Amino acid sequence: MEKKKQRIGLYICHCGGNISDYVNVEEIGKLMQKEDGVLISKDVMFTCADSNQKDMIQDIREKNLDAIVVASCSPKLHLHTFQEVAKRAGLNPSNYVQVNIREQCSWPHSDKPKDATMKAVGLIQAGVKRVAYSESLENIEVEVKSTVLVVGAGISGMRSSIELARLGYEVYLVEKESVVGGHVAELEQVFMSGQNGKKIINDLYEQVKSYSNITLFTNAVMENVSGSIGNFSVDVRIKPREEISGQKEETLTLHAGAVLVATGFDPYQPKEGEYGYGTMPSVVTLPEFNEMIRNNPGKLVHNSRQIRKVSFIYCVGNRQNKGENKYCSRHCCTSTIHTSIQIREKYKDITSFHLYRDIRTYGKQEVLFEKSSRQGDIYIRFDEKEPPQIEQQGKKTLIRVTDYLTEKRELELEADLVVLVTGMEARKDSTDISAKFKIPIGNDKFFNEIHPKLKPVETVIKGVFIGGSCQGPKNITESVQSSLAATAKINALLGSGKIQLAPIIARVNQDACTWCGKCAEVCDYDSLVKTTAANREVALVNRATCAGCGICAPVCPENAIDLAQYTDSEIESMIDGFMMEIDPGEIGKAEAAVEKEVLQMREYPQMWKNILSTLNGGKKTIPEMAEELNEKKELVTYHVMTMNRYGAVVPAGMDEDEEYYYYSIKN
Amino acid sequence: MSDTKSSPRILVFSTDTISDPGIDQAGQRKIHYSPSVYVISLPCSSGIKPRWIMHAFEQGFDGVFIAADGIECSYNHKCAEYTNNIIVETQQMMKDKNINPKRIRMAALCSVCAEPFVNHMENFSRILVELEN
Amino acid sequence: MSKVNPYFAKEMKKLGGTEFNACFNCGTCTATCTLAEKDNAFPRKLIRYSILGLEDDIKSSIEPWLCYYCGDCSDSCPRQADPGNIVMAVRRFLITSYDWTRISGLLFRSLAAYIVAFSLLLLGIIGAYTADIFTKEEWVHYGHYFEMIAIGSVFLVILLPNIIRMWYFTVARKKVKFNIKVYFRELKTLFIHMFSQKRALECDDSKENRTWWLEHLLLVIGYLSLLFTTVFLNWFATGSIFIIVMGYIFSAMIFVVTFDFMMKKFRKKTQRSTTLHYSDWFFIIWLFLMGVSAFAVRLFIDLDLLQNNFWLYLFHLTVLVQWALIIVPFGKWTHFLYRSFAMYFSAILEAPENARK
Ligand SMILES: Cc1cc2nc3c(=O)[nH]c(=O)nc-3n(C[C@H](O)[C@H](O)[C@H](O)COP(=O)(O)OP(=O)(O)OC[C@H]3O[C@@H](n4cnc5c(N)ncnc54)[C@H](O)[C@@H]3O)c2cc1C
Ligand code: SF4
Ligand code: SF4
Ligand code: SF4
Ligand code: SF4
Repeated sequence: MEKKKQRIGLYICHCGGNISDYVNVEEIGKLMQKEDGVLISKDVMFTCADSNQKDMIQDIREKNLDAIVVASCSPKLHLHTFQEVAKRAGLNPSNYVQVNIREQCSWPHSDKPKDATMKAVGLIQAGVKRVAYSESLENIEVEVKSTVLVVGAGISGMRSSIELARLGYEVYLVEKESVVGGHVAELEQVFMSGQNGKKIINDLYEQVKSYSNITLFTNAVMENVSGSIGNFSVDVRIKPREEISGQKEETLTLHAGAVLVATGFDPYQPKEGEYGYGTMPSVVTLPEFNEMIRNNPGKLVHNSRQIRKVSFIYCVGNRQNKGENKYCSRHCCTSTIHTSIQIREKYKDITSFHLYRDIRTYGKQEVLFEKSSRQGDIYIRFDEKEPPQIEQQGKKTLIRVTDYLTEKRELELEADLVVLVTGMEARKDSTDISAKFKIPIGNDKFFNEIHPKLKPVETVIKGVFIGGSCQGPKNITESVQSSLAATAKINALLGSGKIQLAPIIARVNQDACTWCGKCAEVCDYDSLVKTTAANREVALVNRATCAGCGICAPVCPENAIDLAQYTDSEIESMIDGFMMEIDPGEIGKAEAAVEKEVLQMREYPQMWKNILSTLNGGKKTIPEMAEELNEKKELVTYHVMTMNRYGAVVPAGMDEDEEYYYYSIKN
Repeated sequence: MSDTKSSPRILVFSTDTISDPGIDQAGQRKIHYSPSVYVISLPCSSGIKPRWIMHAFEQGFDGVFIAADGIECSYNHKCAEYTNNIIVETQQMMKDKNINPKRIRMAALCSVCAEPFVNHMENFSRILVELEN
Repeated sequence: MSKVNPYFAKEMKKLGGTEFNACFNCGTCTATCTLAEKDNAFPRKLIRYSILGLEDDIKSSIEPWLCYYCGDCSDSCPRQADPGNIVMAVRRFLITSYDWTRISGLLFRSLAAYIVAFSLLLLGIIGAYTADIFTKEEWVHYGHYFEMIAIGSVFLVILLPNIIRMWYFTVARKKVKFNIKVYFRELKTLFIHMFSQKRALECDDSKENRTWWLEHLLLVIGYLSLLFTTVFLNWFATGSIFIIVMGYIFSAMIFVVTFDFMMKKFRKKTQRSTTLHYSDWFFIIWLFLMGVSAFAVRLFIDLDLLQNNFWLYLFHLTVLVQWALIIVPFGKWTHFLYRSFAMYFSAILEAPENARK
């Protein structure tokens, strides 16, 4: 363990008055000067202000401080700011601790200033004690390969590969089918642009081929995955092509600095008998119907019958109250309506019934919905509780449905074809892919990003990204948006050839470890492996893959694991700090002296001095002062208010319009 | 007498990305809770060592509250289970030391759970006061 | 169980319902309509029936007759589905389905049929005149007879059975039991509405609506009075100065009001006049022509010019014959009758439970 820190600098923030209005920061500052190991203890008006940051750097350098503590706002706001200050002053940023005396002290306890002060003392003592045990940690630097493995050559994977190649990366594009393009290649006309899906894919394929730094593998199956950010190794088995005889199966090992998973979705496959699927010849799915349209140029014929009435049943296999597929597939309402418009243009004499639950043609796609209803499509709304019933009567297919738009009337309609609007599901093998790359999956089996809004294409596995519809239902635009976002993230990660990982990782005390394997069991990242040290079997942490969760630490029966920055001595000393007794009398007594003290405050901020000099014996309103100082009114207001509180200035009546107060220097 | 002494002293373990922001929010919105509540924030609630909790009781804390991530944990899908294991283990240790197992509590809090946090603190304080009598 | 008929919407298009397919069932029209009630989502319901082709449900609705096309629904429809317009179309559909002869069905669905029917009558009169069967006096005399006979037979042979059919669709089929007394008690509704068109006032309070109601009322009174004056008081042959003046006033009332209607429709100023079916134009123009020609004929008689300008009488007679044999039994004229009866029937249907016994 490192030496306990003995030259600590402590800065306690007024935050204007946000803290000091309720917490007696000056008194605490004085009190803490007597604390063990504290060399400097200051109260500062705004610790995050540039001027104070400069002062801190100077302090660290001149007084040779070995650790610093700032008691101010939540670390979520300024932890990084002050870590940077430490760094600039040549101090290891791990030797910095931030104490939250605003969000977790002055504000919630603004009703009890005295108690707030007492609590702040506890919090600050805890911070000082914790920093005393802090260790200097170095960021973990990992060399990264400028090679990217893209899994899945659908539109998402292809677009990303092209962009990555353009940025100069070596790209391995791995596709399990014998052809590229995924589901887009199956679409005759995509909404909203009306382009031919196959053509879009062909164009992309030409581009892929034109880059020498993209290597495309088709008929390729992912096998073993190992390694971590910067250097993954993936075994890919290339199946022989049926049409080329004599080709042998081979397995290659690809190395890549980062991985983009873009494996897309599987269309929902209705169960046998679900809405008559598989049992009635006139029931098909939307993808099957799309194929039918592709293959029937002049007349729409199915089972040698001309189709005049088509009935679409929406949300099949989606938005299930009971089943696992709770989500909405987003694209299918629009796809269906688009198809319905398409068939009316293509075959003229055709009528569409839409048996739907809700229409979700969000955004710009709404115009399609209006167009379809204007062209005479019939919309009937059902509830999941009362799904339409389909019955075959001789050659006729009858549908019975309770229409929620017409007084819940039971309707009967005849259709030549029933099209089940099947949405998306996660790929059948998504669990397998998830296990290989350790990407978390949800109950719906789609891959999970770290945070849907803040980190939408990153996974908790460093270096593994997800893009396109393998994350969840997306249309083409959305799929490409997400895969290109992942592309940008990959570029940011690999761009410099090296990456810095935060040093907060688990560490094993190998002298104590007896290799019981318990830690390895709970680690979701396979970061604990068995190794031999001094002829004993012990655990070893993979510094590159450890996520720093600390879950392994409590399970170790020998207490051999510590999480950096959360060691026993750090946490336990904090607990001691909270509970240290202090004499409240000191602070009480001090309260009386506040006013006098303030007048002789060690150092007024420059702004106060400026304000005092503009007043110069007379009286002025805040707008007048702001104008004279050429400063923002809000800022001047802020300072004048605080000065008023500390008795540096006093109100001196209102102006003529009774709009503003005058202020003058207090004598 | 100030509140720090009269009301039960509670140590809260929160998590950096999920429950601690919720507790911060209670402060931002000036929703008051007892000033004898102290918070230590960690990456994940499944990383709390039972010995820390025991140390807190030894140092005079009346109760320990774990503001867990529940199913929102981004590290480990079994987080809730692991945190629960830690509590069970600690309660065993508490029994040996004659500390009422009710002095430890866990609830899932999210990053906007300001009111729920304050309510938990009130309830827990009440329970701890009842245990004293 | 109701059977969906996807082709019915086309039928409604022929009857003048143009935009209703655009409806996405938001219910705004129902929220604005004063006829809508808690369990009666009018007019949205009518749009649903039309889209789904639920003919029987449409046939048994009375509400279309209670609607005076104030246009609030169409003004506020977010999809520009013009719900008021479908109510008009449904009314035409109802006229055709009440009519046992099915002739109105033909006339409402085909402008050509309308024109052929009108032309045939015109040719008949020209033919009869050129054949020189009657003297001029006889023409005027028989013209008067024709009026009486036509009114009687049209009423007995066509309108009365149709009203019975209407009663059957809208009341009898609902299978509600009433005491026969209710029918007598509510007769007052029939007459009050027929002569006052009071319902129109309930639609909204705007000045525009009041003017419209007043004009509509003047038209009804003028029309009925002129009918009475010409048929029973034999206006063209009378010597009573009192009757003569009355006739002038009534016929003037008709053509002034209809002229104003036409101008408004022509300028498409109000919602009511934005989407018109040809049957509406025939109705209003012929009513105007009737007023004008009757006025002119009597004026020519008084100025002793008719003998030398007998074409005028023939013109008037042609208009009259076309009116009485086409527009009255099979055209828009019936809406006047059905609307009044609809008030009557709905009053019966709405009669409180205890009053029915
Ligand atoms: C019927 C229907 C109609 C649609 N119409 C439209 C439309 O008109 N407009 C629109 O914007 N969107 C439409 N969509 C949605 C569109 O299909 C998707 O947004 C798009 O296909 C997503 O592309 P992707 O690359 O993410 O996934 P996919 O298209 O699924 O491609 C994924 C690729 O990865 C490969 N892959 C999968 N697993 C592996 C593995 N383990 N190893 C290697 N490779 C693997 C697959 O073989 C495939 O080539 C429609 C969808 C359906 C079902
Ligand atoms: S924002 Fe934070 S560091 Fe800045 S003044 Fe306020 S409390 Fe201090
Ligand atoms: S997009 Fe439409 S059809 Fe598809 S699941 Fe959602 S609501 Fe159902
Ligand atoms: S801290 Fe978490 S990731 Fe690291 S070794 Fe332990 S369990 Fe694994
Ligand atoms: S307001 Fe328009 S869209 Fe809405 S229900 Fe009425 S007709 Fe339909």
